[in-house]
Amino acid sequence: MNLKTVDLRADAIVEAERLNRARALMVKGDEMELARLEGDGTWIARRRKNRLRRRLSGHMCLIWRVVFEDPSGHVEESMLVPMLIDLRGAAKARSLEWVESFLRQAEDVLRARVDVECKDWRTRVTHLVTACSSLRASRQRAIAGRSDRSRRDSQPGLFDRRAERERQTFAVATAETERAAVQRLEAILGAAQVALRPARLLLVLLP
Amino acid sequence: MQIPPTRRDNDVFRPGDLVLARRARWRIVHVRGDSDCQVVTLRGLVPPHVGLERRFLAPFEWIQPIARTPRPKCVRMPAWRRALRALIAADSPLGSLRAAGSARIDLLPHQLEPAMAILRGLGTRLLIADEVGLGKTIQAGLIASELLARGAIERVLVLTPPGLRDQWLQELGNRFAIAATGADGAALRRIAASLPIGINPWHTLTAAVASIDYIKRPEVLPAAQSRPWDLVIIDEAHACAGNSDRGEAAHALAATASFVLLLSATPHNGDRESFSALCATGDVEQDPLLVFRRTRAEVRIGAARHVHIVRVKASRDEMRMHALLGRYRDALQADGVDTLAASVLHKRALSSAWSLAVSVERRLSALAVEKRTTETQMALPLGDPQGELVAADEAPPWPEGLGLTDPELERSLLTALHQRAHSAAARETKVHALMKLLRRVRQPAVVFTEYRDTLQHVRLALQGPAFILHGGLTRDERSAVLSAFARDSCGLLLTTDAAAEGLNLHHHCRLVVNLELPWNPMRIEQRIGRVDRIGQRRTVHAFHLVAAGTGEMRLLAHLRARVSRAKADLGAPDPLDDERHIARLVMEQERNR
Repeated sequence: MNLKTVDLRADAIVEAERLNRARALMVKGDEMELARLEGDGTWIARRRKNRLRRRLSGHMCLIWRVVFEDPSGHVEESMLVPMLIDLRGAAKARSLEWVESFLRQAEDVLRARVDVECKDWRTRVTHLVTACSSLRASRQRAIAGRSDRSRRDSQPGLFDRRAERERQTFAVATAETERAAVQRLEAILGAAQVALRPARLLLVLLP
Repeated sequence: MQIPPTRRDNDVFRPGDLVLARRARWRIVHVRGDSDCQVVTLRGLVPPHVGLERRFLAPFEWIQPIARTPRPKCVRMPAWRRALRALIAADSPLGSLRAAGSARIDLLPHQLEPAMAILRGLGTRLLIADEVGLGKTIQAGLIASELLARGAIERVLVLTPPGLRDQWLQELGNRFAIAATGADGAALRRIAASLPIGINPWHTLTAAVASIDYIKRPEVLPAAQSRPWDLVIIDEAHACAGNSDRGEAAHALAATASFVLLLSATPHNGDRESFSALCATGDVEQDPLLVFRRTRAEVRIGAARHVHIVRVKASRDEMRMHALLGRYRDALQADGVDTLAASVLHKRALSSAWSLAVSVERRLSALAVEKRTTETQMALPLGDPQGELVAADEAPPWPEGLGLTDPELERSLLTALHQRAHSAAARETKVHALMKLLRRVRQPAVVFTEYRDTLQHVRLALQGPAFILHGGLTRDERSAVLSAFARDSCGLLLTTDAAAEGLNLHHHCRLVVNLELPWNPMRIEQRIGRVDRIGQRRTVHAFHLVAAGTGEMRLLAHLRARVSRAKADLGAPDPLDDERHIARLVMEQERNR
């Protein structure tokens, strides 16, 4: 018996707290807005109330999202990167055009900063994906290697073709199983080739 | 007939892309199929489809890729804030859970651990062996929903005892929004009728819940396993381990699955060999089995449990019946017959005098027509096409080879035994004790016994309203009984082990009575676990009725030894503990009389 135990109690407590916080944070309708945001470009809002404006103290808040996708485009892992940009020395007129122009000009610098912020995370994602896929791949290889190749011995009768038909059916089923096993192995190995998509700027809050 | 539009070569659908379909904007969530035909799952981005997921069949449905809006957009602060909230809530750290947040469950840390272990690549084969009532179904549902949400799996198969199929379907649907199909003969025929000839209906199922007794059939299993499943969940896995049809079917399905999940609150019955067989389910090349075993004490959840051992003094007729049974056993021994086979008669006698009388009567009838009971026709599942019925609680056949060489002597011994068993059955002391107990508690109770004939006899003897649950009821009949019991504020449910396995009765009841001690310690835990579960707010009471002065007292000692062996191996719970709380409720008067 190859039994194994792991102790994830501490992590599970943290995870349960995180999920409970996330549930408490969500208000009905929020998901709709997120779905709209997914379909749009960057959303820009301007803070008009004094309290938050004071807290921003002349900074522009940017929310980026970095995503690892598998070859089929499935999101494997994602991370939000918040960023504050000091605008106190910049011009007062902060129209949509001004923001667009600013973001265009500073795009390379901002993306470089996002890359720096999520460098450790990228490494950890790669490690995790490799660990998961290698475990799955090793099981899948074992399954493929053990596919039932045993020939069913049967004595065909002179006029009875049932044994022959059974043998043919068995051969077809075996071939199908082997093909499926190979396809699954390819899919697992393919899914392990995750790629980092360019960071996407989702939200901007102007002071 | 409209000719479907031809797709252009560069129209490659990728999850995440924006598309236009039915004059609305959508985002692609998932794509399945090949270049000729694809099922594309889309999530709506504009009213009235916002957030809704729909499946489209391309190229028959016109789906047009659109470029992502490049320009930023000014929005009002409330919308911006709502989007930010949803983003933060949906953001999950590395190796954490995504689907659990939206599942309709209370988030208990111990229930998250197995799913986290799988997502962190710590194992592909898991045994969740938590104590009864700590939410193994929820843990399995969490794993399935997480793997589905991440696209790691596409097909899930749940194997359950026949009576739990509907409960699984409800839990998966209500809690995790997994629309599973109850795979039985009728459902598969219905699906097959809508498919072209030659298409295996099992191939069309992405999430299926099937009874292990249905799927193990030789005419069903090849079709079910012809395409490998990605995740196979085996509920009450201890019943599917070892060298049996169930075990072989479960292993055949699990051994080709990417992920295997074994669920059992009682994986170890004190027998190491059967535990090894359980652990080998779905094993391909000595791959490790990740074991989760949490007790109530560790999790600090659940109500207090008091176990009461009620010693019931046997009546003169009952004592005489046991003595006559002993005399028959001695005669067998003198005749050179292996008396181990006679243990089934002792088991029947400890269940009820009536059940022993039934067995002996059958033997006497067989002797009368000079026909050996072994000459029986092979049992075929003709009366149970859906695999809904359970035969484990039926009266066992007379053991093969159990009989005396002198038929006259055997007939005379068994006739005496039969008469005494009949007399004892007229006033069974355990039934009397049960009546007293029920009069005293005045609340819903579940009474367990092993055999269906004992169940029927107790029902008649009680002379009051009682709900009956046994393996001979169909799915609809079982549902009706359970619904009626749940509505009754003072109801009594008489059930066999085979019929009640895995049921959730804790919302309505906290009292369990064991009419006889099962010979397998796992069964005791399974029985109490029907009411001692997460969500039970009151103290649970379990009463074991033990016939004093009979072999049942020795059985109790033996069970204790087996439980301690299981505890040493796996930390199994002790369903016989807490003797300090031995009931003085009912039998004190009886004993002192």
